Amino acid sequence: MKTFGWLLKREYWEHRGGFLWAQVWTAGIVLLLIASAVIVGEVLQDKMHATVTVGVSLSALSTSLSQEQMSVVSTALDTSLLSLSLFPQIVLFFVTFFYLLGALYDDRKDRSVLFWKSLPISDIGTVASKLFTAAITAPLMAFAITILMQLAFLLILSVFMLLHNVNPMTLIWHAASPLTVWTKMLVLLPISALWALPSYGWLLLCSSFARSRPIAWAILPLMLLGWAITFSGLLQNFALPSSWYLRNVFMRLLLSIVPASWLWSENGFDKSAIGQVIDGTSAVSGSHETLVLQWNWIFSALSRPDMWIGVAAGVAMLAAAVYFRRRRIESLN
Amino acid sequence: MNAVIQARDLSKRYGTTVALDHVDLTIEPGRIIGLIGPNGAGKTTALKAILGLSEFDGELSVLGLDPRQQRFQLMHDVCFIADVAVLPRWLRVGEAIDFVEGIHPRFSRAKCEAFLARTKLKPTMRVRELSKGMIVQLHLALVMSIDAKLLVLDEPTLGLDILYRKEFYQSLLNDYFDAEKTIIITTHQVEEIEHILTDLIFIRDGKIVLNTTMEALGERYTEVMVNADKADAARALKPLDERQIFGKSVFLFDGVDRAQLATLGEVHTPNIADLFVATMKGAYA
Repeated sequence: MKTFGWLLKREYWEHRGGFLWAQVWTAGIVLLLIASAVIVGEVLQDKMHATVTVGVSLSALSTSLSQEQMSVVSTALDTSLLSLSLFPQIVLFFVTFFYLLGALYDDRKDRSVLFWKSLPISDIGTVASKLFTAAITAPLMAFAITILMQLAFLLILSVFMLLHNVNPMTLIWHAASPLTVWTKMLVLLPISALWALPSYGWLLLCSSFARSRPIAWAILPLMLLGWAITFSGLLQNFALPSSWYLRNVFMRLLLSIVPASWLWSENGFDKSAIGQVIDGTSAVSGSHETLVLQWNWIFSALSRPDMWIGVAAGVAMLAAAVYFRRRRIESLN
Repeated sequence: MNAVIQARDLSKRYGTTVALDHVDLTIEPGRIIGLIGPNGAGKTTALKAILGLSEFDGELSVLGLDPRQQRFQLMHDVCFIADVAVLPRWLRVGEAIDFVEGIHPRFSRAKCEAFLARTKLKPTMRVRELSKGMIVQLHLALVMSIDAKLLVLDEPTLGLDILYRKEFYQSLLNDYFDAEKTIIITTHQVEEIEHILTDLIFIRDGKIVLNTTMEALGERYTEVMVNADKADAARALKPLDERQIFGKSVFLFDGVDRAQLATLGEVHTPNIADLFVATMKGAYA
């Protein structure tokens, strides 16, 4: 257990550039853009005597709001908080994808595997530490950055409100429900990790297996198989649509790390679900649903057979990754 | 006491190349063994097998464990430097010490810091900023601070200058080695380890061609410096090797009575390098 803690620390030392600093930089740039947009807006507004709306027009905000209007503001705020979290999630996807491909390959390439193997560390422990880092450590760091980013965003908004003589305490901090948003993101984390298990397994397996270019091993065989299946018309024999392979094999193995991707893999792109997650306006104009990311979407993943088939496949590929980790040390010659 | 390493019928082939050819080997505790052979003789293959880094045929037990199946347990008592400069480039010196201290129950931080105090290494330095010699210094300091039963060093001092090499072997003998420990060293700089070895193993084409203690070596092999007039008499005794120095012939004999040889000229015990050259004649042919 103590050893495992040190293994996690090692992963952090090696990859803090991707897991931490890339996130910090992205968050900083996004916040800077938002702040400058607010400032530009202010200047233009002064020049053009335009009106500003935050779901409801700003002049209306200075007077008291009806229950109805308040709920619109609420939803708009929660939606923008959730949209903000997309930026760390996008960074997280790319960083995790390449982290996993290099995790069991890079140290064989630079021969430092010989140093790690000279210490009492089991191969299963090594693979487990890489999996834990991708599935838990990195998303938790992205989550922490997201919280800070959202708080900074609400702060920028509050300053903006103050400039317009609106009390940000009632309008922003009361209306927004960051705690709900954060709870949902936190609950989403282990479910996303379970859903992504086939991707973790496949990428780690390629990383462990490849003697060179793990990324080619990860993508090319799947593409070749895809073409073979399409041209042979194999799927039609089983009365499956031609997109079946793409959705259930190709995407699951390569892109399950994409956050909440089960939402759009159910029936192709589930526009109603993903649309509301990405584009808050539909939620606003629609049912005034305060819960932007609904609980039933989150838990829908757990009742799907393809979730658990994926978990089983992921575990099998992780076992194979451990097997190759034990054998492949070709650098020593 | 049980043998540290017990190998029977150890074989390994890469495609059609035979790297180890039915090797039998027993290594007792408390020895310092020099494993010497030309490039491609099978030294590294043998060490890889011992360290659980490769598959092989035959039986092999290291400290009573099977290195193929139990590498993880084995590494509690075995340390190795398998090659030079294999520390990860992103690692900091301080992180390396913290990590090994956290992972290895037999690591002594105090010892390691004492070793590093003799170098220019600082805790905040990254491996990628270090010279090759400094990386080796760090690696050796880490490994020598682990109280292991078996230490395997594959060309440990490659890239180090002569000052540090001397100091390293000195401290290996004085600060590290004791009757409980066993050290296996491979190196091409045979003359530098000659004085610290207790045992010598020559390996050639995957076979062990010589396995002897240093004492037995002195009894078995004799070098005689012979004047030209007695050279034919010396040749009649079937020497292993003959070379010329200052107009005299130097003959190397295996298992010939030393008193008899003394009548031919000045006798002494050959050094390992000369013995190696004589034994490996034609190794690259």
